[in-house]
Amino acid sequence: MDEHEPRIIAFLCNWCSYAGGDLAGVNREQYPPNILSIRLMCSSRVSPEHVLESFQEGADGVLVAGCHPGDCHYINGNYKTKRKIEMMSKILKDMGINPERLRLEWISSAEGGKFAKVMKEMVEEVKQLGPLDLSDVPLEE
Amino acid sequence: MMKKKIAFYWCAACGGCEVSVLDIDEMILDVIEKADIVFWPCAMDPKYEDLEAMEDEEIDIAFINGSIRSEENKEMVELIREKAKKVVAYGSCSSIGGLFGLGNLSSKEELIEVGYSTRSTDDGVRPQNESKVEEGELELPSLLHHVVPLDRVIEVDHYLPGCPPLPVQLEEAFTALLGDEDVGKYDLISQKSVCDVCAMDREEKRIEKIRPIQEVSIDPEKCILDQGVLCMGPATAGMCEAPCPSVAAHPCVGCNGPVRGMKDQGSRMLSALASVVGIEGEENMEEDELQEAIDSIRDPTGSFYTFSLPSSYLQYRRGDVDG
Repeated sequence: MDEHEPRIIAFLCNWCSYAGGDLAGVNREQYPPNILSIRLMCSSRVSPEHVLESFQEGADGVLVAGCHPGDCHYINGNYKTKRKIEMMSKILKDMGINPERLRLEWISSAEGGKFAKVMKEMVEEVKQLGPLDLSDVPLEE
Repeated sequence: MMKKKIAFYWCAACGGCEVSVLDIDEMILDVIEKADIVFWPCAMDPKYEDLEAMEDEEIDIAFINGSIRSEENKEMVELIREKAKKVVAYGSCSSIGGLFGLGNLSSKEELIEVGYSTRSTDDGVRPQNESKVEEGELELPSLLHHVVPLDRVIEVDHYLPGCPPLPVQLEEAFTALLGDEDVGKYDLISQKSVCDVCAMDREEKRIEKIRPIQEVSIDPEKCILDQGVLCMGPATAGMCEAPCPSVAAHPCVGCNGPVRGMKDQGSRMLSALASVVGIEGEENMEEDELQEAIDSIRDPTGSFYTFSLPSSYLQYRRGDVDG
């Protein structure tokens, strides 16, 4: 049987993490192709609904990446991201979804290497967790 | 004008919705003038057979309250759907899942185990679908896998959330529905949040941390969230006109569910709080201080989804997905 290839949605901030991804490409860093990246102006633009909808639409993991603390292009957006993701993790746990499926990373535009490393790690971790199937169970037995 | 035929039915509910129909005081006379109540198990004594004997679409409007928890709930609303031209999801339970939806944080087996192993229940006795007694065989309906709102099992024509819907909402709803006005599916849900209609004085929000309500002596003039007590106002539809904070100085618990057009009330509340809690001097905060501010919001799932868990994205605990 083929090994499960996880699908991971990565929300990347325009100013740091997406540029970090670009740098990874320029530097010819290798990382698995399981990542679907979505570029946002700021990591704090990620609403919990985006995360939940990603999971529901078939993502096995969600990565949110933004500028390092203190480096946010919009002064303090990434602090809000941090609080959101922390609270989200608690909710995911309560709802029986492994919180490791949601990951927050700070990746600057100079960290192409870190970008590739995070992607590799995340794919490996989510592969271990297996597929996430949120399709509704039948109400009656 | 022909009098309309209306029906009321309750599923898994506390009964508050049934009582709320009478909260409209003398307006009930206007309702009776325009409509005959043909089926209302709580107040009359109809049998299932009476409903079965009705023609299809004989009832003009059926108001169904309560969430769908058991096979019986499901069977009955499916029957009512056949017999009614229009179905109104009355109250938060049938509109968005309601308080009973918190049962979705446990499996149905866990619920039965906990419910029937208390000090006051006979040990080891569990409800059975069929049991034989002297008089014959008795049947009990099974619980469904999880609690769902009404629109998961039948089509709903109008939503009227509220726990229970208040007279001010009912006045609007009954007048519009019984008067054949053109009412959209979601028109009875407000587009304004509770904060929008709340009379408390607000400042720019900078909350150090969220505190349990018993630790704060609440100033009845000022915004409750500003005072550091969790209030669901920002994420809750405001057709109630905010009596809890404005009149009782009690934080909003979110009973109306999300504002019109929004799906996930908890997510909205989470976003709102993430931008205001612990932001003072956050750039110099140590990791553990920040964590403390986040942890001050106790039980985010239970608090943010008190009334809307079954209609949220995740709906019920996916314990079987990840260990």
